[in-house]
Amino acid sequence: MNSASDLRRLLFLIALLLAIVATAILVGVTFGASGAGLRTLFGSDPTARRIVMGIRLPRVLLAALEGAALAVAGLTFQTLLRNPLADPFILGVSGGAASGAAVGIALGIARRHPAAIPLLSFAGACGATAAVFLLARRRRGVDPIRLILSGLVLNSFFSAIILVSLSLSPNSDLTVAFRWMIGNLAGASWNDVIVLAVSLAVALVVLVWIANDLRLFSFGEEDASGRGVAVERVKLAGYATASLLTGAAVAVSGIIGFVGLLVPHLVRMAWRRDYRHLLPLSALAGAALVVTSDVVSRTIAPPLELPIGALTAFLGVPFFLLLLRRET
Amino acid sequence: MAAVACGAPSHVGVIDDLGRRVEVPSRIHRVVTLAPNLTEMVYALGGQKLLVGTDDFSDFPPEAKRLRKVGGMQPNVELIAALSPDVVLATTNGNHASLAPSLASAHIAMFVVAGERLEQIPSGLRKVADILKLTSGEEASSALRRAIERQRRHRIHPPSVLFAVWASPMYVAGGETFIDDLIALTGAKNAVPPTMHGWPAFSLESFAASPPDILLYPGASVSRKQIDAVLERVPHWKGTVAAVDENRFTRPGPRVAQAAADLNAILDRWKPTP
Repeated sequence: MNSASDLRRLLFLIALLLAIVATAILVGVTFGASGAGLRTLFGSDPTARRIVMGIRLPRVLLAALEGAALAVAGLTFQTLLRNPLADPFILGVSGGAASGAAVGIALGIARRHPAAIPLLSFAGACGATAAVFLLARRRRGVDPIRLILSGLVLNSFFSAIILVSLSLSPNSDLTVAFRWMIGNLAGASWNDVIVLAVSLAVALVVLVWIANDLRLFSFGEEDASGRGVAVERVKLAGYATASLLTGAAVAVSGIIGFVGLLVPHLVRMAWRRDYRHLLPLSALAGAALVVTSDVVSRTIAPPLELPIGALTAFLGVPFFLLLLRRET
Repeated sequence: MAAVACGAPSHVGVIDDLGRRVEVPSRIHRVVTLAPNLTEMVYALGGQKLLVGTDDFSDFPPEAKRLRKVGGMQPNVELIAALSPDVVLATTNGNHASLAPSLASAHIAMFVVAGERLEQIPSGLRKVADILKLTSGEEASSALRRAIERQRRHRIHPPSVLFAVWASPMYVAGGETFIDDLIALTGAKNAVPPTMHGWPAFSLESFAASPPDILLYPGASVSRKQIDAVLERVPHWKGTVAAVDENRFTRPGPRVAQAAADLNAILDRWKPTP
């Protein structure tokens, strides 16, 4: 932050994104399968109130938190790995989180202790992060193509775990497996909102704490170390936090891919590569993207809903290919 | 959870078949059912006036087709809430349980009724009646139990029966399903090894290794052509193939006694090859 005009520009950008998120939330609360219009929002009809407060609002807020969590996770992975293609989904971290949850369902833990699901997702995400990192590591840092290939293979492996555990579980139903593999927000509840909001708050505290260290990572680990950054400790905190965000996001909605890839890149187009500023900008832009995608997914062909994970993949895949072309 | 038991007197705490404690309003005026067997149960109990919505598949009795529809495999929570039901009836089959948290956020009670085994059907009928405060529950439930019991047969040469719910790959009714119970009730035996539970995939190799005497398939979602295409690959098999009324056989509802009667008719016609 060098000058007052820079600060003004950053604040303007944050205000703009906040306005977009607020608008998206308002639109999301106004439109739905059972009807639209601000009348349902402010009317006194108890059914409409129940729909808005009990169903649409938790869902829209969950979408916002989901977008923020995934975008921040993606930004953090990209910064730590210095790889623009890193994303919780592409790296297989989301898959690890979903298979943690699926194993919990298969073993019947979900039925007895529903609160264990986010913890299992977090454990799965941590395991996947460690696995992808070890698989891609070379003597001189992490090889970008190896990283993507490792993520690809891990994703297939985790899909297999999800399918096997949910096929073996009592009352198996493949639609349940699909819910984990292609995320959707149809089951959103206030509980989910609380779980994700708390996880996001914890993660943001840690990331703000180490934001300046992460900024220095863009000069390379040795350089960062030379500038007094406790590299290993920051890496551990960063990976754990990004895994926490991914685990919590997947636990409440299944896998929603590519948000962590798209959002930080779009933000970087509007702002320079300073982690301290990219953090709030990515969180807000992620929220705007997922809330908007969710509104589209549930209003495009009512009463049917498109899986939001499929929608973000439609947006994310061309973007990924574009980046891949530019990077290699 | 303690608050549930001593909550407002307008609600009663009940335990559903998933073992969840559900607070159901003590007066029920509006009900949404999420599966056709439950819709049929409500009609069988004479509670159809309470029905304000059902899933897309509920088509029996024919009037049920005119009820408001809230979706199929993944019912739309918002459409359910828009009907402001006092209670939503769901089944353990499918993923209805995943709707519970969002319905709870909208303060809508969901009661889950198990329909995996034959003996759960009369008791499910009773539970539905109790939830909806219909007096016909005990009578309807014991009548159904008697109707089922009337279909019990003992056969000297029990034919082995394979019930294929899907042709290719072949998915079949395995052990611990109400179809398996129906096969046992009517004095036949399930061609699927008892270790295979639920609705497993059944390979052609298993089919050839333990060939059934009778192959049954649901006539609406599987066609004879699809079955013949599978059977072409086991040319030596010389068993009986029969289509059954899909909805009687695949819905754990009040028409299950008729399914048993249909099955007995098929089994009675079958002659063991000397």
